[in-house]
Amino acid sequence: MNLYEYQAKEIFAKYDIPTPRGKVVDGRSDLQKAFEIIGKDKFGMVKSQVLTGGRGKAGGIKAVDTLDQGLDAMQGLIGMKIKGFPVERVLVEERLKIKNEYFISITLDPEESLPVLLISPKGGMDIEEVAGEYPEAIGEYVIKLQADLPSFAMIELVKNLGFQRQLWGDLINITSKLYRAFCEKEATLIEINPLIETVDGKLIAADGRLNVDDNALFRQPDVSEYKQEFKDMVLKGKGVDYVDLDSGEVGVLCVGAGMTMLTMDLVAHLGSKARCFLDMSHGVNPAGFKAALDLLASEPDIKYVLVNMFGGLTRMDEIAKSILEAIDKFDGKFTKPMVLRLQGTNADKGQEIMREAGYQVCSELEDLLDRFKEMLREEK
Amino acid sequence: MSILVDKDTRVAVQGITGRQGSFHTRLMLEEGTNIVAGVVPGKGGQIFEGIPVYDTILEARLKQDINASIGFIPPPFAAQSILDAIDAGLEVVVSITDGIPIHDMLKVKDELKDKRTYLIGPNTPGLITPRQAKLGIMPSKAFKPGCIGVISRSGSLSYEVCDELSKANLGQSTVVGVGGDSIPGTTFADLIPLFEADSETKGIAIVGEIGGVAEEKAAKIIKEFCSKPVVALMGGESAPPGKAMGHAGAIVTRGKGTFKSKVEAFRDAGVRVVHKPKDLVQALNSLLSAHR
Repeated sequence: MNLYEYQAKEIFAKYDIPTPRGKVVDGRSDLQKAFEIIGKDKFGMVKSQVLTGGRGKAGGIKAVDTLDQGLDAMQGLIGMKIKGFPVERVLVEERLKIKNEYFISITLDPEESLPVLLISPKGGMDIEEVAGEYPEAIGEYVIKLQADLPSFAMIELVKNLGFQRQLWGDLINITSKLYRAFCEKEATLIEINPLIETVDGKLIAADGRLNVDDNALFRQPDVSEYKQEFKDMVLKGKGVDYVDLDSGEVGVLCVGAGMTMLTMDLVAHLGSKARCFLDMSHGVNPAGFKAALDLLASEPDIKYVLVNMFGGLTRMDEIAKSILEAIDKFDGKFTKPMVLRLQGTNADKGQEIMREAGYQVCSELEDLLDRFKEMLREEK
Repeated sequence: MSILVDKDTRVAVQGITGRQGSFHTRLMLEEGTNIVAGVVPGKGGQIFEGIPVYDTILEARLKQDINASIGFIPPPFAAQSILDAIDAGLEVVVSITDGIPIHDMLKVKDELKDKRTYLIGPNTPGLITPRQAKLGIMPSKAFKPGCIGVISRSGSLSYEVCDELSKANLGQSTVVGVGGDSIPGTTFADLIPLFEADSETKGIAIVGEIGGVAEEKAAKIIKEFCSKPVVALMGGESAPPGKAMGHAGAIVTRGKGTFKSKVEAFRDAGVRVVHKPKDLVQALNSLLSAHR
């Protein structure tokens, strides 16, 4: 689960990692409170809360001087879409007087199966470009599952990167806290970019990212509290793995992630594009399908539904019954055009059940793609 | 011949009396698997389907000459059960469990470093040498004995691919699901040399996807060591970068792991890359006849 900036910062604060003063806001009265917390001298930055990079360049961050300007900025940002992500809230924070911008990140290195620390004196918006152009400006340290970061190795690291001596202490201190949060919160990524050095020499996490392992949420109560705010996590609770693909016109519904991904590719080869990915692996029951169909029905961009199932252990007659039961809950009116393929265990029975209910079903992948092509032609 | 498991593999089932464990134990027995022990803490001394049950895997190992295990264990306890099986010195350890916390797997990988154990999974349907041994939950019907070695990150796609292969009379020597997690035990690169050394395997099918570097590493090994024809079915071409597509493993990280980098690595190693299960069968067929 990828947390919003304000949530990541709430966790940072629990580890005494310094963050700017501020408050998450979705309305006028909260904004007033944020103004009071920050004080009018340092007011303020208004930052849209979206799970995508590059929001600054996309106009998602505004600097303001007065409460009125803050209100304008908030109203302009909420409801705006940044790279397809709608802005529902803004984080209003104090304005920092910036001297330098740094970067610290801990993530998992899949090759080593170990956490890896990345740290750079060239932080800020274009860290990916820095990584490409000046790889020597990013220090890398593979952490060998120790409880704490070894301080001598850390001193070597920041020294070699050219950090000024008076910053070493604070920098290593923040890095250690970040590593502790990474381990304790079972993160897959924890990042501060930029870590700001203010003109008076303080280090403050001006932005924060925290991605927590979904599989560990059962033992991470404080992170789990954020679950309700994410559509995909709510669906996951019903056994449906959902990925929003930001643009496209087809809802792809399969059993198994590999199957879903391949089906998306085949849709793309036919000149169309999947809008979302729904893997029913853990939700083969009427409630799971109801949740999936609700989503497909509610998303206006989705014009077609493509169901491609190859059942091993999942029985196709059960799938067919579940789909029909879910459709029944729409008063029998799930109106988006749909093509279906049911193959594998009990495919004959499943196909018969769907046909009796008036749906056309394919058994071969090629037929499904042909029928999908036909559907695109008819509708366009 | 085959790789990793055959009719003589002596298997312990961890969690044999649970809902999933008992169901799949019966199906594994039907496939011919030589299951000699079950392990369920607190249920030692019971008999399940004629199989003695022990409290710990170490006890099972002492009383029965087991060399492989498969675990049906809920996520919070799965890593510990894997560590127990590694500790017991088993050669093949299969973990079906979907949802093991990643930080638990870091510890498992650390433990595996100086061991000879092949951990298959987690989050895998397991592995099967058709009609000899099935340590897994895949539908037996899709598989048939033969000469193709299959390795896959996706369960559902491996069923479809093997079903197509079987229908085209290309049976399988051994089919291994390495699992969809970002931290898998055994990887493609570990398995290629085993198939290369197996006299029965004539061709290799890889079912790969975006994310991680398993395909790139496999390509390197293939280029250096593999004389047999290899075809890869690749998924995730249309996936936007930076999105996790259900499989945690399919996260595009730090410029590596993209569809393009995988396809290029495979092509450079002489691996034919295809987009549909049917094309994979065709490609293997033509390569095999050219190879003879």
